[in-house]
Amino acid sequence: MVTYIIRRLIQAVFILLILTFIVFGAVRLLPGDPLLMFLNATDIEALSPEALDQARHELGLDRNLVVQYGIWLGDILQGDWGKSLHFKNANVLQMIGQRMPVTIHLGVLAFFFSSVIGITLGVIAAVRRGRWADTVATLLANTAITIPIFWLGIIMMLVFSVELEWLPVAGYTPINEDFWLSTRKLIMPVICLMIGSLGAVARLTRTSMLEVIRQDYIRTAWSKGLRERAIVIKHALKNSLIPVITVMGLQVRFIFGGAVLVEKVFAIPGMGRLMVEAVDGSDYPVIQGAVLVIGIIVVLTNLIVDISYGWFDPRVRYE
Amino acid sequence: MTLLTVENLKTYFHTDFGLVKAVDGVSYEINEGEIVGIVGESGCGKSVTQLSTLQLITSPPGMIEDGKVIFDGRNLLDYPANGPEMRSIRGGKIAMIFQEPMTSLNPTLSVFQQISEMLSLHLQMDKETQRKRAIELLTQVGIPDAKRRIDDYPHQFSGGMRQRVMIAMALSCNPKLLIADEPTTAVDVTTQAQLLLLMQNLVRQYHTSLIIVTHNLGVVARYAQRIYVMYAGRIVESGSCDDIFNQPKHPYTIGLLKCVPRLDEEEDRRLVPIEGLPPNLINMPPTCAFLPRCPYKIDRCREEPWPALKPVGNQQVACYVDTKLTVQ
Amino acid sequence: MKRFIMALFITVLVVGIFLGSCGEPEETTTAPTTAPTSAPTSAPTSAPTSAPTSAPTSAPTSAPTVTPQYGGVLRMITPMDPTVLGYPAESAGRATYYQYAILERMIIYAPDVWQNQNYQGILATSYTFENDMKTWTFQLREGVKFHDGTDWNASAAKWNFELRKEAGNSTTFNSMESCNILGPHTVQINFSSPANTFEVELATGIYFISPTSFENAGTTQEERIDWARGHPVGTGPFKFVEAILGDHVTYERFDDYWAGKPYLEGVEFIIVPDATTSKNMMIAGEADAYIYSEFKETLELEAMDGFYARYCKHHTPEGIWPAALEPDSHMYDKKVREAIEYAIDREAIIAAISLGSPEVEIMYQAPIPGDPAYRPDFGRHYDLNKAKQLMREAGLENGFETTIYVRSITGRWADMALFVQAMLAEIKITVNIEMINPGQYMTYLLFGWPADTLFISGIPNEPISNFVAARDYACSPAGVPKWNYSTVQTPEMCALWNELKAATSPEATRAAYVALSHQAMDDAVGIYMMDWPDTAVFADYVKDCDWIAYSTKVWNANTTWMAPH
Repeated sequence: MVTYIIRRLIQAVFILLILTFIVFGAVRLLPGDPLLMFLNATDIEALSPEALDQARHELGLDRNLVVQYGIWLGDILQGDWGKSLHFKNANVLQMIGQRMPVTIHLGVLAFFFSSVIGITLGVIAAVRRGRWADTVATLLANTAITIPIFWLGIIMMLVFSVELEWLPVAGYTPINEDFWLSTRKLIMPVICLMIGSLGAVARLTRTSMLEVIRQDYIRTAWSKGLRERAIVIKHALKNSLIPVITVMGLQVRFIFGGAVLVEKVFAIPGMGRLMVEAVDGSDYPVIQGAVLVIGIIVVLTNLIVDISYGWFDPRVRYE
Repeated sequence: MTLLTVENLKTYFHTDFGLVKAVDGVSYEINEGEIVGIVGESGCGKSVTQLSTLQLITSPPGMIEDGKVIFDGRNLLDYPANGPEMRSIRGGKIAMIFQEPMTSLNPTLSVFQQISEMLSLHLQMDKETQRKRAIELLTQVGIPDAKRRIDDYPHQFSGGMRQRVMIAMALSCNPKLLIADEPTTAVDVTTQAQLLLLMQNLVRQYHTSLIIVTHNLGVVARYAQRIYVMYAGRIVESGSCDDIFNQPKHPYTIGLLKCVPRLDEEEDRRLVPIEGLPPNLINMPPTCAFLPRCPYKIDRCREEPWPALKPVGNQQVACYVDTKLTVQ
Repeated sequence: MKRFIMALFITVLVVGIFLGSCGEPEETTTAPTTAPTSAPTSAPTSAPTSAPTSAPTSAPTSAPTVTPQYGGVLRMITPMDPTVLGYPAESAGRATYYQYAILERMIIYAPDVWQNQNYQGILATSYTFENDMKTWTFQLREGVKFHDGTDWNASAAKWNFELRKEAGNSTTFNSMESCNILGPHTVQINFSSPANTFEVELATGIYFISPTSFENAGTTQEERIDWARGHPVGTGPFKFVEAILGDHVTYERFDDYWAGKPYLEGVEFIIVPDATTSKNMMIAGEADAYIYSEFKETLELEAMDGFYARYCKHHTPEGIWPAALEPDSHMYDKKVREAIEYAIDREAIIAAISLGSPEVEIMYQAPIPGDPAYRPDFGRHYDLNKAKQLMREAGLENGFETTIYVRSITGRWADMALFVQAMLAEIKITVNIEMINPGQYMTYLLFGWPADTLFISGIPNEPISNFVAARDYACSPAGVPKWNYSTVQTPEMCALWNELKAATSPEATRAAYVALSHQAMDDAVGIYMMDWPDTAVFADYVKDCDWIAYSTKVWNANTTWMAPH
């Protein structure tokens, strides 16, 4: 197990190296020179080609791509993530440090609730197959999958914030500042972010659960005199979650993707917006830093998913 | 003393293709300490009969339409399928062992977890006692080094060992009745014999009754005191083991016996398989289900409905033909 | 069946929501309330000895019945993040408005600036120039303190000018030869060449920060600059508190403000990128103002009770510009450019994209009415026959293929591009539409567009039109970055542009500007189409807020106050 984790971590390092190198090259291929993007009307004439070359030189942008990458990597390892080209006083590590907890807060809640609610709906639908509870749960799951996040966000905002005035329209408050306000502000974004995953998880859980409750060992469990709840939770659920875990691992990526939209609609200062704005502005150091961090998170969640298989299914061996 | 009496049990499956009368008026009984065999080809309804007694039929599509299951003086079919009364009987009073040791144990729970949940449920044991008892049980069923292996998962055991675990589990709460549904079908012949012997010893030791459900007459021959032969959802013949083996009355039983090798017989006897295939249980004609395959059929068989069981000698037989006269 | 139930459910939901949300905008009643206070009643005089006398911040005059009240934090929604706040040399173009309430300029535009090109004094009370506009002398306001408690005086001004020169990114300051302190509140600055756009620069981009705070901020200049970028210490009515990128920027009241204690306790900018969300926040009362609002949301909010909208014109003319630099390109031929302009039906386009608002005005030339270069009868109005005729004369009756570049920042321009595509098809010009990102746009804009292409954009405009003309019609050798809105460089224009750059008096500047502007319009440098207003929406209780009252470059935050609500 330990060897397996170590081996996977070493793999992860290579994956991250390849990922960051590709992104490093790709952002430089994007059209648009980041040096030119945020100029003032008065300073343009002072920007002679020589001055631009000088600025480029100072930023190291005139060097060979591989050399630039090497320098960036070296700096990263020493804790210097560079500075934003756009927000000149903003240290990339600090920016990510500010934004990441927000997206993680949002993402963890979305992940948690989509998993819990999705699995519950799926289990109810499977156990009550063909009855009204199944119909309702399946309907909810299908609706959840097909609903467009953007539309849902705006509709909820109109209903719950503008009409009913129950929830704040938008914004973010850190949880340690004001727990109640923070939670109220996050209700709608979390619903938007989790809704798709919720549907996917519910449907998959239902299918997988239906498969599992037909198994011989479930009959055995019944023959032991166990309650239905004990059978579902102890005997069926763990087995039926094995395929669901894979999908939940994938949801981490979708949550980062969905965060781009949700953070924009609800004015939440998270990684999604940071990334989009950085790409728009060709803000190389920010893009690179963010990709690295998100890459690490995705690689780690994959690892956690793979390790958790072992907990769900003792037949899985790590070699 | 009669422990379990099943009367006129009918279990039907309402499928998309039509009505399947899997169990169609089955009656049998078992006494305390007795070993009874229920024999029949695959798909004849013998497993469904046993599942029905414990109301373990998946519903829908399965439905117990009629009948009584009298156990300890109570009709189990009066209780709701998954209600507390039924649950206290399952595993506690009546335990089952299933055919497939590879799939009948939960792959994600350790052997200890699977045994201990019964101990805590039916005997309210604490964790420590559960562990001691589980180790004891596993030792009894012949699992070497039980202390160490108790936390292993099913996939770490061989097929025979898993069936031993199943037996240990089934016996863990001292049930009055053990129903073994094809307990040895999936294991090799040597293991088969060991397991049957083990079961026989254990039920004697615990004074537990045992129903062995099997398609293999040879299996029951050695262990069962009485035998019920089932065909197409009905019991076609019943009687003591000796009688059935020595004087089979029903053409089906005769056919079955012809395809079982025997050590006590003249040499060179050819094993003769029963002609034809078991019937499809969907939308059966009212006549005897064995009719198409029966070598003894007479006109009456075609004209009248399937006969009820009636005493013939020491046995009960459901047939119009006096096979004694026609057997070569 | 299940699918049907689901469809039914969704339909009910959608219909319900539409019915629910349609309610409010319908009840259109009176929108704007009391006229926003006109700004300071300064007495701006004409240039040479312009001596703005009264404080620009004296109490507004046009809100006679209500007495301003103290208190409250003004919450303003804005879609943009601040960039650099406290190091004026790097204040980037688009989000400088964050500085208005915290840092101050020597002069700002006066309310009549569009008509008379007047300024009013803030940190300077008067100024003079002489020696062919090479020597400028400023009389500084007395009694002004920085937020760190230090005094604003001649040495602070000199220090700021020198900081700008050191930064090396301003043509004007690059030519600064010396800066002398003539008295405790008198400072003189000498340039090596005529600085005839110095006033505009002072009024738009030159902010002053506290030398003391800056100097104490670090051991190296690099450290100090870095600190200042995020820590603006100025003389404005509000003090900087914090800026959380992507979330909010907050200011608190500066009690020692030279024009008296500001009414508001603080200002909070809430950064909201989405327009619908912004609108909903306004309706839900989560913000008091929405600045740089989207046009559609502005109209919608204005139609509701409790809000007034403001439309600031002339700052952003929008139009289409041809890339005509290459002598062998089709568009190098003035006839082709004219043909394109005649083929475009501005009225149809504006009718389609202005959402019925009268606030979008049609344009046929760069100068706005009232500008000295404005010619009422000038303009190439829609005339398809003339367009075809010109194409024939240019030998292009069979047309040609071109690309129109559209920036992706607003959907409006994509709509415009579709119209242009259809209209130019009439004169057999095949137009491909290509969306470009801000980076591409800036690269093309500064280093030139691919030959024979078109692009759609707004052009930042200033009331001081000679400044804009000098920028837009610049004649520079290839390879030197310039603002390539217009790429037409006829010899006549170049001569006039050089004249404008060399002008040494306001009169000469004005004359050169008028000539250059006329020449540029005659040479069909681009198709000015409409005067797209900058917009903002305020809750009714926000009073005397001169935010974009006449220019997007002015906000005297100290006069703004909020009635109980």
